[in-house]
Amino acid sequence: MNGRRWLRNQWDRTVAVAATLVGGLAILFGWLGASDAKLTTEQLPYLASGAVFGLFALGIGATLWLSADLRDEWRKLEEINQGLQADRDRGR
Amino acid sequence: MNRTAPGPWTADHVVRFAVGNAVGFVLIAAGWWQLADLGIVRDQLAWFVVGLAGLGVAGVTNGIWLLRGQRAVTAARQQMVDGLRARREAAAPVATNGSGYVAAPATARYHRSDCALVSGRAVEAAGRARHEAAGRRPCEACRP
Repeated sequence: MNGRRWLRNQWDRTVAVAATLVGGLAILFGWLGASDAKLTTEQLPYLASGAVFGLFALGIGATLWLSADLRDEWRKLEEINQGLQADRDRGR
Repeated sequence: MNRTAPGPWTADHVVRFAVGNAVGFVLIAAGWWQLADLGIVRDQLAWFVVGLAGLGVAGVTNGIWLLRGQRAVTAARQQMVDGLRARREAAAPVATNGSGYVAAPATARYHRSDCALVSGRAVEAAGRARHEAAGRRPCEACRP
C-alpha cells in the first residue's frame, strides 16, 4: 500500500498524529512566549493560546487515535457477526 | 481489513462530536482573543475561564464520543458471543466412531467432537495419540 493510500485509509490516525504534534508545538511555543514575558498580563495570553489550545489539540489527537482502535475492533466484530449470520441463513 | 465500512457511531453522534469540539474551540479562541487586548489581570482571568470552559466542553464531548463507541463495540462483542453460543448449541456433535477427537485435514489442532470451531466442517475422527503423531496439538478453545 502506498503512502497516500495509507493516509487516506487511516485518516483518523493521521489526523490524530497531526493534532498531537500541533498540541505539543502549541504548548512549547506558549511556554517559550510566557517565559520571555515579564508581566502577568503578558503571560496570560500565552497561557490561553499555548496551554489551553495545546491541551485541546492533544485531546482531539488522543480521542481520534482511540476512535480508530474502536472502529477497527467494531469492524472485525461486524465481519464475524456477518459470517455467523450467513452460517445461520445456510442452516448450519 | 475493510476500513470503508461504517464505524460504531451513527451520523447523529458524528454531528454532536463535531459541534461539541467546534463550540469548545470557539470558546477557547474567544477567551484568548478577548484577554489578549486587556491590561488588567482580573479582567483577563474572566476570559481565561471562558477558554477553560471551552476545554471542558471539548473534553466532555470527546469522553461521551468514546463511551458511545465503547458501548457499541461491547454490544457487537456480545452479539458475537451469543451467535457462537447459538451455533454451538445448534450444531449436532460430529460422529467420532468412538475414536474420541476430530480434526479437519491439514490443520494443526484436534478438537472435541462438539467444539464450535469444527461444527459443520469435514473432519476425521481419531484417538489423541494418532492426532499427536500427525503433529497436531489440542485446541485451546475446547481443550480436548
